[in-house]
Amino acid sequence: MNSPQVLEKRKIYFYTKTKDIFQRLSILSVSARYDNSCSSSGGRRETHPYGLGNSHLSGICHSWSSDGRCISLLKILMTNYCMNNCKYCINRLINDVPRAILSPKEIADLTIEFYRRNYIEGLFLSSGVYRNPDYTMELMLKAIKILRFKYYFNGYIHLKLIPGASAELVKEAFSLADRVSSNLELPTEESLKRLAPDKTFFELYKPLKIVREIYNERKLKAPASTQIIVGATADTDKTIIKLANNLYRDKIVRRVYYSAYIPVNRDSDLPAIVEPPFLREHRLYQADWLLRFYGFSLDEIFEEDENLPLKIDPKLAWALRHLEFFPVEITRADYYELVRVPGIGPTSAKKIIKTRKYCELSDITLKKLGISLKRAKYFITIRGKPVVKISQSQAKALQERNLLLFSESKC
Amino acid sequence: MLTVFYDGTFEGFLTLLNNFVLEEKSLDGIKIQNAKFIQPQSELFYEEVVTNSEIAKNFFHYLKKNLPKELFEKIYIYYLCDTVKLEIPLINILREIEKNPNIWQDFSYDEVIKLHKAEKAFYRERHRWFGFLRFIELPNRVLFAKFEPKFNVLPKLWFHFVRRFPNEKLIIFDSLRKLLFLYKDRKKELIWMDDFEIEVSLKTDLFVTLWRSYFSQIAIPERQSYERQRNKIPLSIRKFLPEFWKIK
Ligand code: SF4
Repeated sequence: MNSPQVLEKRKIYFYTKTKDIFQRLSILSVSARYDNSCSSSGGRRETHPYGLGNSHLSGICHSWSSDGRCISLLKILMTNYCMNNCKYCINRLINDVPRAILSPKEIADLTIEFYRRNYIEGLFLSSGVYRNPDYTMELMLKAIKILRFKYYFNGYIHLKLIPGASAELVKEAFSLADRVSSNLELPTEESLKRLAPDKTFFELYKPLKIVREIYNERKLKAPASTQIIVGATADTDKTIIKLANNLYRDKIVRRVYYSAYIPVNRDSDLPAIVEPPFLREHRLYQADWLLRFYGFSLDEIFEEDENLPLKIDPKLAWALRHLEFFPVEITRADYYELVRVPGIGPTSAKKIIKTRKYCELSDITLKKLGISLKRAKYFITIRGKPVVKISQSQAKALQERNLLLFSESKC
Repeated sequence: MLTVFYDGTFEGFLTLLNNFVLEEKSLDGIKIQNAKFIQPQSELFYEEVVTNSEIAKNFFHYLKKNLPKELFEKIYIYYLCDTVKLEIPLINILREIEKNPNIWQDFSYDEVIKLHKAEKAFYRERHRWFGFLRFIELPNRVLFAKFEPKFNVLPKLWFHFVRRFPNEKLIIFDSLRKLLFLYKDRKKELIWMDDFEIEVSLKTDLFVTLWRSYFSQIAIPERQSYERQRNKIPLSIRKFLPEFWKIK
């Protein structure tokens, strides 16, 4: 593998010409695709009378790529050149990959033209560290200023904060964007030291803290997000979710994204894996939801193990550990009791509460409302009666947490 | 079985409701059809409702006066859910409402569930097209989009784009229902238009190619999941999305 010094001497082909726009867009979207965040929700801007673009509170998906992920924003790097050497990253300095850069005007023009055709809700702009953090951030901000002040574009903008950029630039970024983010990358300082030697937890966390301070007068979570790589180090699920929980508790971010580690480089410090831990990533999202929307605490999720079970979702796992909580009587249970029932999520719980005001609940009414009882039936009663008669063997299977009873893995 | 046709306009829809709700025409052995989808002549026994603006207007005021506000506001949405045939369930509910004012919220009635589900599906469909509608830029910078939504969402969709692009020239065409929306210089028009066609190709707009290239690059190969993609974007609507166009 080349050392950085050798690379200095090698000629890097940097795509910069206007006519190369196809190659450059291609290089910079490939480099950006490993960032999982693509949400466009939460924006509140109205269209400027001379311009175009507004944001839709609940976000809009414009397409789905062949990996099944929603495309909502033009997600690109300004440049994939980077002076850092994070071992898990395709853009690290020592990699011999084609490099490209887009000028601020090109970024703005691309965004406008894609937006006018309704391909996107806005822009997600990130970048490798080019020259130094402030210089990079300034170039990115130039693009955003063209969008906001020349084209009067009020569509959604998500801006990645470059760690190490000055507080003034972070503040400016926050004032122009709908959402900002700084990826914490790995859940502990030790892991960062090992895989991202140019970064420290403090440096990555600092932009988020600045944003929180600006946002301080409001009680809401700051419109910021972060991403944590899962499976590149030995950190447990509990360590990861605990970090997320603290970030939510301190209202530092609205959203934590988990990204299954996908090997793109070879390095002795990186784990040798056969398949990226996508299922683990999925379970982490489920646990994250339990914390945010279901009223679960960290200790409830990790009562028995520091890692989430892979075979079943964390809510079902909790239910099977706490059969004393069930059955839940659905004609009387409150929202937080209902959402603890496997198979009943927030939408179904709300439907149940609304429906029982006007009519008598029965398994037929529930079915008509589209509430599946496939899993819930083992855990509920309707006016004191169980929905299914549980045979002795099924009761035993439940007690023994026999997973064959629950073939699907929905939360 | 007698098929009663109405012309697919909102006035026609109100005239039809009036006939069955206020004039209490019997529903026995009756099937109701929207003539925008099936020609009356294709049925053996049929009857056509003659759209009458005056009757429609009066019935509209009758509904406004007699229905709870929330339900009244849904009537237009039920009309727009034109492919799920809500006419009979709606007539049944409207007939009952005087005796049972809460009936429209009582989910033990199949009709109520059907209306409720259709309304939800309508807004889902509209939201889908907020994202899926694709504009192609024509040579004079006019933005043109063609689509075929499951429901007649255009009357509730155009506002989103006008608000977003107040300074653009827009043409949006629902080619299934032949409903056309035009917007220029802040003036707008929504018209039924039987013969309207604009041919577009990759060459019409160079950004289409750029978008297609972006679309193919942004997917992570290790995560490939065509199944999930198919669930989100059914094959039937892909002809309206340039990123899925098959280029010969
Ligand atoms: S700083 Fe960002 S772009 Fe640069 S190597 Fe690290 S992860 Fe990659």
